[in-house]
Amino acid sequence: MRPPPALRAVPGQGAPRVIAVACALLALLGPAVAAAQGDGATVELGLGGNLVADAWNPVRVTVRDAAPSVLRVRIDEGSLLEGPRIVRYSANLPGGSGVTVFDDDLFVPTFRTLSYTLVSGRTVLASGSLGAGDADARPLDVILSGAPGRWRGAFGSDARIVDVAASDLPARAAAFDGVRTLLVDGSAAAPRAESVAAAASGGVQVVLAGPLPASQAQLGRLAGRGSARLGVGEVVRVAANPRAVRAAMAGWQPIDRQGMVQALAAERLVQPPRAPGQPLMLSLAAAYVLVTLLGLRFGGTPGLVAGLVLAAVIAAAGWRLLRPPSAELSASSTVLIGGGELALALQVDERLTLPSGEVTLPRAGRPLSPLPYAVEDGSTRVELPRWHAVAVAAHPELRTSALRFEGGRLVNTGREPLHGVYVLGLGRQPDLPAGASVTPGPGEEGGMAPPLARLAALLPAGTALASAPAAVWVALPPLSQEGSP
Amino acid sequence: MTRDSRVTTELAAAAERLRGPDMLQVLALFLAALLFVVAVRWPGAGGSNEAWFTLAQMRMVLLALAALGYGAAESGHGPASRRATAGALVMFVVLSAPFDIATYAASYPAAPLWWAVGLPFPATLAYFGLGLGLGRLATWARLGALLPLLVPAVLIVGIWVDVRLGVSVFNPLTAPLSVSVVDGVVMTAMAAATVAWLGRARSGGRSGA
Repeated sequence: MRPPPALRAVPGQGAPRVIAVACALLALLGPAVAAAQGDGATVELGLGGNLVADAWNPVRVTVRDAAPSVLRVRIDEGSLLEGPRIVRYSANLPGGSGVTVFDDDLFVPTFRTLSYTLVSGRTVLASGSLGAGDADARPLDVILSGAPGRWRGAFGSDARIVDVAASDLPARAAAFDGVRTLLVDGSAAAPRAESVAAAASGGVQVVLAGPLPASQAQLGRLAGRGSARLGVGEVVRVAANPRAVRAAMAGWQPIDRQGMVQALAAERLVQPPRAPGQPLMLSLAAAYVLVTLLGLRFGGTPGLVAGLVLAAVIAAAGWRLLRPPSAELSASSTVLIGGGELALALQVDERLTLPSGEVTLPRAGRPLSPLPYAVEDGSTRVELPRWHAVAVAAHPELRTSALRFEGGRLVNTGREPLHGVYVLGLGRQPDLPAGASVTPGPGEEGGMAPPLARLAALLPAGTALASAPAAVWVALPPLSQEGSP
Repeated sequence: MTRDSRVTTELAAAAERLRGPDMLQVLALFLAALLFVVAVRWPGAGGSNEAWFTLAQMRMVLLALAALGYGAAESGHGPASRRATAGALVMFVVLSAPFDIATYAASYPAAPLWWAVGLPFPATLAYFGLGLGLGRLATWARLGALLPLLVPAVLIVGIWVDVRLGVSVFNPLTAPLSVSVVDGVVMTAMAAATVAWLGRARSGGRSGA
């Protein structure tokens, strides 16, 4: 299935007439346009040009022999009731001779309009727009096959099935946020193993249907002896028929990643600075007024000088005691969900600003509250009123698992000690120093800290949770043990 | 007269003026009003601190009213009395500054501290000069009895002009909250003119003595 033409770029040469002619050709040629763009600039939003609303989507820009350019995406996620709410994304692309490929991820909310332009100087290299009808939040089922029609019966009637080329698969976990299933039957060109691993780690169920050719044996190893967890997703081998694929998909219980992020942000991470109580302030102020007035009345010039000195001292002391340490206070909370060797890091950064103004977070992300924001070259900017905080879900990243199950034992492979170890269904476990392991056994149940308890409610039985100094580690149970600790 | 001795003399004159019952009562009322603002606007536990905004507005309005009123009242007095009153009004600014600075520190507004602390000085002298002019005008027009009404009226007209023109120059409610170059320039120019006027009166007084 080819992507809708609107998502592929319109190549432009600068002169308005050329753009007009190109637009006219676009309208006439329809789907053929996507294939005809090889010698211009191409902007592709979504996997193979298929956007998923309310998810991170891959962005790929390909330019040939072009000067440095800027990609700008403008998304209106407002409503009739509240008016426009604009999300802006921009990225600077290096130019140069030959083909330049730029890859990134963009969180696309449910939008009313989405438009993009790729501009180099005054020349528009590509542009396009989408309407509210294109904001589809259904996850994608991706087929990598020489005969994709064969597998359609394995998916439901409302599934968004897309077939993409192996080279279209990015190697970033966040790019697969809007993908539910990746089906590989070995009949098409081999995808890179790291792309498949990124997909699984990001939460995708990778289904390897039938025997794979020798060139794709690496993929088979990801599935172990039949099925294996990898990050938040899984890799499973099934027989080469749609019924087996359907059965595997029916048994898949994906982890609610959005829910995990919400659970992280359920409590405020940053508390506003506490001012001294009103009685204390009033007492000090009243004492100052009284002393000053008495000095002025009975002290003459020395009394006035003493009053001035007292004013300076009180002002300096007040400044020192009442001034918060900085205009912005920040904190973050991270949960790393691992299955096997890889873990998906979901991080929430909260920033509280005391004066009104623009808050800049160093990573790309999306605010969890409905606010206009901008993502520029990997940093997130949000305009906030005074004494307001914003929680931003950062772009998901892959890390090496520090807590994992290995041969029935729970192992801390990281460099930091893990404490508060808890296995759902078994209870509390002993703390795990760096490099230590333990065989989970029955322990004291309950008594989890509120953040852990919120996360635990979204995880299957047998999952292990542990706290590190700056994060919560989650080890999903091996597929054979799930639900039976 | 050396510079140091002149400062000492002006300080002594201001101290003497502040000891006067009228000035002391006005200062007491002024500080009590600021105390009241702190009592009303200081936040409870965990709330956002907006105390500075109300306090800065209240302080500026009261300083403007006091400066205008004393300026109008001093227009019939001698230059030494005017200088002493102007000095006393500057002491109003200094002695109320701890309220401003402490609430500013806790509220963390976007307006810079130098503006919040600095503006009241030229503004008070500017309003004092405006009051002197107003007093002369009222005396010339034989409307001296209406001065208690004219003083707030001038302030209201200033606010109205600002609102009509969409600027922040004469409006003491908006002036301290954000930096306004026009406001700063106008107030500094008026304050300089007032100081020059008071200085000229000193030179004239000395040469006439």
